[in-house]
Amino acid sequence: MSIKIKELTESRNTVNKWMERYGVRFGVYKNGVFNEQLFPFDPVPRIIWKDDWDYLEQGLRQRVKALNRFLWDIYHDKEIITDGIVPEEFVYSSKGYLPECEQISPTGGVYAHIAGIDLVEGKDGQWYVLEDNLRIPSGASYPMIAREITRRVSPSTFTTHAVAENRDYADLLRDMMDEMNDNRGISVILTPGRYNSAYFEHSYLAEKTGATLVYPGELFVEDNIVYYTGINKERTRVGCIYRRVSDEYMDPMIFEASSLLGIPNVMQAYKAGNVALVNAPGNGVADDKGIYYFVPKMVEYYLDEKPILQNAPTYLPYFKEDYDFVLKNIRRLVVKDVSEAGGYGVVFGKDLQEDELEKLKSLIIEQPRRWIAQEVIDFKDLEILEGNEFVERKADLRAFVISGKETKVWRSGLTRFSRNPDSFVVNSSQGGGFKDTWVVKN
Amino acid sequence: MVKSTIISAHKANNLFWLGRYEERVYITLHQLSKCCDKMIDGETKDYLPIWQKLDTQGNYQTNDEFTVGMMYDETNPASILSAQTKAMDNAILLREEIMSETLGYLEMSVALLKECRNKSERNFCRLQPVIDWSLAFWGAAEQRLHNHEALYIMMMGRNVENLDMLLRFDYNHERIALAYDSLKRYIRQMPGLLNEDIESQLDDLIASKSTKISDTEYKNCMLSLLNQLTKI
Repeated sequence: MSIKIKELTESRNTVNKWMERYGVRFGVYKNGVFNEQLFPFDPVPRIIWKDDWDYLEQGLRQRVKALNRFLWDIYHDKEIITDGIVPEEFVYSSKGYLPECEQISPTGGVYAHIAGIDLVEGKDGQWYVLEDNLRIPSGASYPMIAREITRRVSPSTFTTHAVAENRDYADLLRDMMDEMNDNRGISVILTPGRYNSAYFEHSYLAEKTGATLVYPGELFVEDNIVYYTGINKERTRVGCIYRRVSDEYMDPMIFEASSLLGIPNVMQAYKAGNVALVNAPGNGVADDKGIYYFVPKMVEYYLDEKPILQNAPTYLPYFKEDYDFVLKNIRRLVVKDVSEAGGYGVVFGKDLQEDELEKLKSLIIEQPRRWIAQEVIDFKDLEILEGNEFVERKADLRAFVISGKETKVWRSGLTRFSRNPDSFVVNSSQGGGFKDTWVVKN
Repeated sequence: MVKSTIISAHKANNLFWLGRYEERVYITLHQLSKCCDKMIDGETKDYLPIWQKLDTQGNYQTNDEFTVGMMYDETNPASILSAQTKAMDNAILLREEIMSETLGYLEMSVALLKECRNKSERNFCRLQPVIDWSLAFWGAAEQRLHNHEALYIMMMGRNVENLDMLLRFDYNHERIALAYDSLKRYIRQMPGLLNEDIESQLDDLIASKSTKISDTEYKNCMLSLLNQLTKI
């Protein structure tokens, strides 16, 4: 079956005008200067047929359930360590592990309420998970608003094809926040402010969910209860905080003392069970690039199921066998620094000069725990419209999984593509663009 | 989801200044249009009276330089682009209150102004959509701002700016009194934000019609009180 998108691609300029009208931007800091730019949108959607999606959906649900179980376990009984599935060194040396979260039980036992799972589709049609993002994954708002606009600009495209609705992301988010809130008070989205790269998303999701967008300094804690304060010093209780502020800045009384972005004593309120934090603090331990290696094992361990989704073939220099393999084959591998994110700290062996390669090897020898190495997946190129020409570029897919009382997969996702023909790096912070992701009935 | 009806000090500030700057855009366009008309048949420095009323420093030598500067000079706080950008800076922090559709009118205005600036567009008529979108913005805001207090605060800002500009441009007592009445309609809804002391002084000055509005001391006193009338 073919997809007819001629009208949509011909309306590209109109779509871009609407994007501008709605202020669909993201911010980038370059040399210390903040710049807001339109997020380049490609009108050619990524198509995922429903049968393929059903497989992905099952796999994503399974993976996120296991990750949530892992987080509970790590901050409570640590059975996965005791049973020798995950070496304790990987947990306790992870920057994302927060001892302050030990024995805290979040509402419903959910840690990763919003998970952004990055996948690529190999040329053989096999999907691989590249990364789990369990802290504050961003990006869902872009395909949401792109759909809103493209449906308006090219309605016939959508009458011709049975594309699954994706504007329900806000409903999924709202329902989850309501479940976590449990009628304790209002739900808020805490943003670091306008100069955060994802500020558009924070404000757009607040608009679409009906949550109150709050800024640092507008929330305070008294007797372990969080309040939002108004112009006349009136206050209202807060039951759920969807925070877009990193763990280390969330509570200056516990974490980074100089933080002006957080809420003093919010961790006390959280610990007392008086407020839900979405996502829970401490999730970084599970989306650490080193822990990623163990996720398929977690699926088997916690769920007693075979993992549906595969990791990209990964080597941990921490293990002797992998260490030898990585040093021997480094030229054909992609090496990642586990402490970096956003496409930074990713090095392709093939791109390095001999001396650079030797330097990288010595870094791995010095700190094997700090690195992982992966086979370079020859992932499928997607068509994008560049000027008036269709060209092929590398693209990934960030799928969003929402966990409240149930774990639900959003039937869409953010497809990011590289605008550079020779690059595998698709991150928006490094110049990538985005596409809508259509789940289409066969 | 339970929606908060509380407005934080931060948001109140943004609402108020959004109201002020957007009204400034509208009135400046109106005044500039009148001035441009006059300059068609007039003298080289016909722009000076309007410039002096806006009480800002400038370095324009000709009517043409003045017109372009008033449209696009971002370093000139009285310019349309400058006011529109500041309105946008406040509005962007209020998306979830005023909604994307409403915000869109301001986005389009900023984009058009920048496009015209980049093309060195001198024909004032090209900015007509900015006037249309400004009016559309107010209509959309009134329809979509479900939190009445938020609307009152924004309208307070709008009416303070309106009165401020009418005073600067020496409108007559009747127009000033009407604008003040309109402002008070909104202020009365938010008594906690009113400086009562200032209100009573301003009441007296506005009621007194013996002094001409153009009297500098009288006007400056009213402008100063007006800018202290609310606690925002």
